[in-house]
Amino acid sequence: MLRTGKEHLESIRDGRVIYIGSERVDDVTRHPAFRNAAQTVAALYDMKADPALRDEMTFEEDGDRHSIYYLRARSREDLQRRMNGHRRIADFTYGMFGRSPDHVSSFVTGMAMKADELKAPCGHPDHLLAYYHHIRDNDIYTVYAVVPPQAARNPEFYHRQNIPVPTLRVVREDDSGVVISGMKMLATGALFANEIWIGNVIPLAPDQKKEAITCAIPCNAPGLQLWSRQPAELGCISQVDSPLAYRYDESDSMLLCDEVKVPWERVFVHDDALLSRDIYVKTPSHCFGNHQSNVRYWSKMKLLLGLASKIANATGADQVPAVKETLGRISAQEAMIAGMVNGQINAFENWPGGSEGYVCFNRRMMYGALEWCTQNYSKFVDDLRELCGGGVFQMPANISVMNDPDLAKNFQTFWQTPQADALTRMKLFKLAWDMVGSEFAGRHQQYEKFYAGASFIIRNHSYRETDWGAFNKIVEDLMASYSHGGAKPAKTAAA
Amino acid sequence: MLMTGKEYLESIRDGRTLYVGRERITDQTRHPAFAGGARTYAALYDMKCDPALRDIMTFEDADGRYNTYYLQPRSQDDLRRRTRAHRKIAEFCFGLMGRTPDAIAGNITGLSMKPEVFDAEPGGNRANLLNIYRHMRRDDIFTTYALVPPPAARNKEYYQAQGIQQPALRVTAEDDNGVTLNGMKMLASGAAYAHEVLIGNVMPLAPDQLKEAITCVIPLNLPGLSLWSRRPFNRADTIEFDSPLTYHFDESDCMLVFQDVKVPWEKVIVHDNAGLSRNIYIQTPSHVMANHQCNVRFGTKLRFMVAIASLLARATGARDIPAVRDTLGRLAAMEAGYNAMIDGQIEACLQVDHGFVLYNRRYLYAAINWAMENHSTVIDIMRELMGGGQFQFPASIEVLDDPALGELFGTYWAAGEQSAVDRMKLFKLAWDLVGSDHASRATSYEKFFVGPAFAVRNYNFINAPWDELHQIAEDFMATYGYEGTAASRTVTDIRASHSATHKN
Repeated sequence: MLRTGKEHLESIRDGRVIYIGSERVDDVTRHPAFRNAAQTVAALYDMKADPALRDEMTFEEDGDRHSIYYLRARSREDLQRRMNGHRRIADFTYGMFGRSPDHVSSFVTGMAMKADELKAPCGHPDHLLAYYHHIRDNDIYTVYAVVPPQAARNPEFYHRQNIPVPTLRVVREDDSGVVISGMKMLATGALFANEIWIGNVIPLAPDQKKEAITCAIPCNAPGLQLWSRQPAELGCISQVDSPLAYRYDESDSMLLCDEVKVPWERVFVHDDALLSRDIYVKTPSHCFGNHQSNVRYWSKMKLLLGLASKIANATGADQVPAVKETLGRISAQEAMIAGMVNGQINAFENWPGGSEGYVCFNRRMMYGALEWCTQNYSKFVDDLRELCGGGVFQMPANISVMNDPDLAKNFQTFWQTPQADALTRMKLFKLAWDMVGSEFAGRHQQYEKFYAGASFIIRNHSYRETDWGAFNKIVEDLMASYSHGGAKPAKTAAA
Repeated sequence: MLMTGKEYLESIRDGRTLYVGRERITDQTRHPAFAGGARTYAALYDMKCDPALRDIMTFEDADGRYNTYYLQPRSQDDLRRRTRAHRKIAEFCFGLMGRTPDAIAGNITGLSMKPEVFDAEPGGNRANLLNIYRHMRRDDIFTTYALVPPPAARNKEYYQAQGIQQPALRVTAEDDNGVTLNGMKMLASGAAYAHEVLIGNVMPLAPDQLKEAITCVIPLNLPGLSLWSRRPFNRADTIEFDSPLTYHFDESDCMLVFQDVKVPWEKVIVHDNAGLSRNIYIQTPSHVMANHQCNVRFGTKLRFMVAIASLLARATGARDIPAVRDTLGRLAAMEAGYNAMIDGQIEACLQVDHGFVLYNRRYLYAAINWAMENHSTVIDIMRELMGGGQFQFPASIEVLDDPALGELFGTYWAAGEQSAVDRMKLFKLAWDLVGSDHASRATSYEKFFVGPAFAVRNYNFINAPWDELHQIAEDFMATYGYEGTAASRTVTDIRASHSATHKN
């Protein structure tokens, strides 16, 4: 069953507890800090439900139609369909919504393709499969919080002071389920989602059993509070002044749980620290989820490349050889991420296989792209900043100058250039600033560096997935083809 | 006469026309968008008057006591005094304000050190320049500048073809009293807070751009002059704890729009001479004196950045991880190297006309180029040290106003021995240095305030002693040929040849 945007907005007006500083937010769909982003999410739901996009955005299974990102891939074509679905969603938000509804759903779908990794007694594959069907069949928007707070890294301090470690853990359990308390981070998108997946994507110590809880809770669960970072939309004077922050601030929240009850059927891993992490990397979960990130980044690169070109046009610098070189370089980068996304499909893996014959994106190529994305975004933004020059600061404080006839006349006279009229230039430079300089832009630079974890974590994924034996063998074979002991015949071309 | 902060604030409530979007700001010292910046400038004025800083911030001349940044240097010690005063001011705002009163004062003082440049060609007015220097010095005037035409002005044919007004500022009429100006000039940082503005051209004009060559120093409240501010970063609800740098150090940037602005002759220092309007900065110590202040400010900012980087690493518990120590060591090396370039400018100072001395020009331009190229890198390193920390903190410190939320915050956001409030304070401060609008404006500023990269590199190109540099290689090549073996040179020969070519 596919939901409409209107239905989705209704579904998130559910009494959830959200704080901006000390302000309690009553209705996330109407609050000035969040309403436009809520409309963006609603528009995404409407797009998925559009009959014209039916084949691209949905698939049929078990007698009903579902969002394409719930498709468990059995062929290269299925992977291609997933990618096309991600791409349409990412293009719709210019890659600004990292936690669009296709992100965590892809984690769950990937996990459902190898649910037997949730090994008894601590893993519950049946719960996971039921959850997969629940979010697929009800078109649920799920986000996640899978990292402990920074403070939790030093448990001795808390033991010594005899105060509770702040990280989220099971504090009690009974026949009906578990009770969880503590903090987890960082639930991007939670304000607009229906449910939150709680777990651990960073390895725990083996004795951190109570922190190993992996479960899902609704965003309005009694005892749950969502503490928002400073919302970017609040600073927007108008859409022209901050076009990206105005629509695309997906929100980040810390989760505070105070005695939140979770029924057993929503518990996926319990009391097993190692398993709680393994479920992502021993199933296609992590690869499916981060493939979406790759595709989203690609959409963002397209906007960035277009902006770089438009800005160079507007400043009249587009024919300067050094500027052409810069544009050519950014273009090459956009083509690289496009190539890496497509390459993951072309070189897909027959894994996890099984009786269903499931397949996965090429894991090493996906992690290669992930590493590249996190390493390079700051550089792209810096390139765009250089193309902008001081242009942004030459624009009036805001577009309200157009509402005063005298000022508007001066603005149109003095701010126009042979390349563009004043208003068009202002729109362009304000958009560019929302990509390179605003608070919103600053958050994105940070996000692109860290959404997949610190750089050593990302590199560890590549290390883990590499078949070192195969690479070693290349060298060993070469070395075996010669020796110092006299005249072994040289290898012929045929050999 | 030195103004107090209070007198300074009074003096800038002068009826100037300042717009934020369509809103006319009647009193920038009280408007939430500007009050924080105004307080900071006022505090700078008070600091300059502090008797305890008298010997650092002021000097005594035959006719009175003045700000050190008006001192015309005759010795290395004088240069050191100027540098120390710049540093004191820069430290007061952590290097986050570029247009403090000592910046353009450096320009004008530099012009006054070689005033005959204004006599050498028609259109220059030496007496006016010297009077302006004395007026600024005597009346403790804060002057900013706007020395660049709007981007549109680069393509004159377009406007002529369309029969519409060309936007670059120029003289449209003149009479016995003075000139009338129309058009636009950019980008006057600090204009919301300064008393006066130097209007001129730091980029070369075409020889026929006579009317655009106008160079003058005028009050910011002249009738017909309007200041169009970029978006100010402070709002009525900005909280110091959440944005401590924005709160105090948004220096403002304004476009200047002139509509029939009348300027009396005594404020005009270049008129109808395109070449001279640019050359005055380069053929006098002006450009070097002013940009030395930029160097000192940047060096001060770099120290602040390294300090915060180290505190961030300590707060995240990463400070002793080898890779993080390596990063901090790299930052420390950058800071030390940069500040060495400032001291080096004094050590290798230049003797110039009239018994004056000047900071080493080449080292100065090298430091400008270094800052332009490396600021983004330092910011990016700081981002990496921060991790996602910033986004884990609540939207605002106002959580403390609610006892229940305050208690939860104190419990869950603490990390080991660091309290939640202390951690939040550090991360919000760091974010205001690397990620906020204010921070990002600074990142663009550091790339462009001297001009685009090619202009900065051109200063380095034209000041390089190419003949001497070539000579080093040519002399060496002259010591050997292909026919037979010339006698090997001794080490003494080689040293002699080097010391002959190393003058700087």
